[in-house]
Parts: sequence; C-alpha cells; structure tokens
Amino acid sequence: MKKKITFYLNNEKVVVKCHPLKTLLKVLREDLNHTEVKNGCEQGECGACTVIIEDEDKKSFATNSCLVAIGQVEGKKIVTIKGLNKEKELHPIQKSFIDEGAVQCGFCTPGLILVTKSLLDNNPNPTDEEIKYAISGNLCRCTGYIKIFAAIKKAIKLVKKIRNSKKI
Amino acid sequence: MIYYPEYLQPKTLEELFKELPKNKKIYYLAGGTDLLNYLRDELVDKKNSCFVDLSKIKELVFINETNKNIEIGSMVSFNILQENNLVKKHFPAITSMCKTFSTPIISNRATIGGNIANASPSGDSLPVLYTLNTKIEIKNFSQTRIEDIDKIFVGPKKTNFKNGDLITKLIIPKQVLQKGFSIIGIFKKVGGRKSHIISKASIAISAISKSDYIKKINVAVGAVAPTVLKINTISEILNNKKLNKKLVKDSVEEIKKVISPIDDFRSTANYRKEVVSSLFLESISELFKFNFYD
Repeated sequence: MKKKITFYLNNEKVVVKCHPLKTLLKVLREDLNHTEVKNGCEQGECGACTVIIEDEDKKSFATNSCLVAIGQVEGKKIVTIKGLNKEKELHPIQKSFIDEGAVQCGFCTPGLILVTKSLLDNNPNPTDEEIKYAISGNLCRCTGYIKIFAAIKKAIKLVKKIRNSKKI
Repeated sequence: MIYYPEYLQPKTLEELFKELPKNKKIYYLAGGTDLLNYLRDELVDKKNSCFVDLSKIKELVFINETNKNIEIGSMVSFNILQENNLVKKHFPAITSMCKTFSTPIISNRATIGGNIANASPSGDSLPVLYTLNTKIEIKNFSQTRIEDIDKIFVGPKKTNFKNGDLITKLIIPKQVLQKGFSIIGIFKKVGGRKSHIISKASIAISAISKSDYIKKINVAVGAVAPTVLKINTISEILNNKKLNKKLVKDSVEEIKKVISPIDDFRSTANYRKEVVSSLFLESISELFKFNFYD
C-alpha cells in the first residue's frame, strides 16, 4: 500500500510515493538521496539521524528520524544539516564546530549541530546543564564531548552577536 | 520487498472506530519510539496487523484541570508534560520523571499513552502514575471504561486490553492540601549510563507532608517484579507519622519483601534488590532533606 506523501524538506516541497510506515530516515536516505542524515543505530540510541521537525503550529523540535514514520510527516517541515547553510556561507553553529575542532570522524556532527540549533532556537541562553541535557541523546565516540561543549558555548555567542546586529 | 502492515491515519476518534478493522491485530502508533523498533525487529505479525496512526487526532492532546482531577490526553508527549505548569504544581513526581525519561530528542515524540500501553515493567511513567492513583480511560468502538492503572497490567509487556482498546486519557486526582502542607514527589532510576536509561530498577514517591511530618505517602517500584508494584505497606508504616530512621528502615524491609527481581541481560536479581533499597533511601533523603543512609 504505497501512498503519496507531501512534506517540506529544507524549505522545498517534496512528494514521495512509499508506504507510510517507512521511516523518515529511510525515505530521506533511500528515496531522496539525503545521505547527510546518518544511519547509526536505527533504534533511537545514538542520535546520528537527528532532524528538526516543524509542526503545522510552527513548533519545532529535534528528533531521531529513525523513529518517525513518514506518514506522520505529511505536511510538516523537515530540516537536515543541508538546510542550515546559506549557499557557501556556513551557519554560525557549523563554524563554531569547525573552529573548536569539535569534529573528528564527523558521523555524529549533523545530529549534534541540529540539536544545538533546536536548543538555541527555543532557548538562546542555555545554562551549562541545559546544554548537557540537550545533547544527551547524541553519542560521539571520538571527541569525548569537551570540544563539542566548547563549540556550543562559542555558537551561543556567535548566534547572539548575529541576532543583535540584525536588530540594528 | 519489505512487507508492511496495513496503515490507517484517522483524524478523529469517531473516524477511527468507524474504520477499525475487526479481523486484524490493532497496533496504535503514537510517538512510535517503541513500536517502530518492534516493526523493524520483525516482532509484529505484519500480515495480520493494522497500524492505526494517532498523530492526526488532535482531541487526544490536552492537559485540563477539572474540579477534582487533572486530565491528560494519551497523545501528550513527555517534553510537553515536563514543561506543563499544572503538572508541576500538582504532580512533582511526574515532572521529576520527565527530566530523566529517555533522551530529550525521544521525549519530543514519545507519549504518555504509549508508555502505558507498552506495559514494560521498566516503563518510567508507570511507578509515578501508580503513586498518584491514576485512572485510565479506555475506549473501544462505542464503549468507554475507566480502570485503575494498577489493574491493567498482567505481566511484563502484557495488559488486560482487548484488541482495539485505546487509551484516550489519564485521570489523576488532585490532592486537597491543609494549611502548611505541600505535595512532594520524586522519581529515581539506575541504568547503564546517565542519559537514555532503561531502568534496571526505579522508584517513585508521592507524598503530602509538612516538614518531616507525613500525612500521606505512596511508594511504587519499577523493573523489580513482572509489573510495577505499589507498596501499600509502606504507606501504612509512614502515613500520619513524623519521619525517623527506624520507620525508614522498616519501609526498606517492606520493599525487600514484595519485590521479585530477575536476572536478565540488563542486570541481576541481587543487584536490583540492593539498588532499589538504595534508591528508596536516596529519594527519601532528598525529599525530606535529611540523610537516612546510616
């Protein structure tokens, strides 16, 4: 039973024809060739497949795309790591991760950057504890998290600076 | 080719029970954080099952206050529950549990109804809901019934539900507080890492107290018996008493009497027995700001 499912991927309307119980992760990787969404454990343990989902009521949150059925995504907006940069200009969170050397093998990076984006969208001034909590569903087996934490601290400042300059 | 079960996505409860097939095993798809894993692991008889996606049914997402109760729709996710002010005010044990529930990115999707229906003895919401004397509203076609939460579980991952039974809401009684008394609550668990813990053992406590005087207390434990257990004998020991070390020690003995932990891939029976007692001491010490360890 295949079904036509329409949603928005990085601000572009997409239509896929597949079974509504196929996971969002598989649709993104197999049907739409968005392999920037990583398949780590496929059971919600590692967070490598994290995407941001924006509901019809504009509420957005990060979640594991391996645990979302594509039928549940109908009409919603999905953001992957490819949706963050503006052409060649990287997002400040991406810049911070590079500057702080928070990337080694890079497999967890898209997920970690997206949970950071979601955190800062909802809470521009997170405490250290709130940062640690926000990234606790995303595993990194290279860096030991110290550099990731430093990158997020840096990103908070950068994002704030950009927001303030836009206000003027 | 991968085979998938039948799939329905009703927009209202009325539509749901109109479309529900009678000859298939019904799986309600809520947040999907457990069920999609079962599907992937081939634990579902795909040919003879129907997945009914609840994500479009808006009438299952609400938190309301009535005269005597707080009512929570079954499709409320854990992140919403964690932030809700009515819940914070009336049921601190729920808020405490949400903070350690799974991971934040799973909390964004996982629902309270799903956690109950999954019926795992280590389901984090269950001991908390036991301590709050929660009632569950269940609908099936034109019938509605209300059951006490401790009556619906019959074993690990087993409920007394009939095919098609749908949890629609939780009804949790508000406590009437006399002057000077407040409602306190806590949830603690032990597992393999700090985040994303599937409990080796867990405990929930809800109480009405004034300093170290306990008016009423409920204690429930998870993952140390085939179902979650509410330990009524502890309530008998501690209700209407000023808390002291002797009473706390007696309470620990009651926990050891009623639990029947097992060895499994996650932990051992002996460890669970020891650690659940420690969890009780840690929780009661934290709630009443006194060290009951020694």
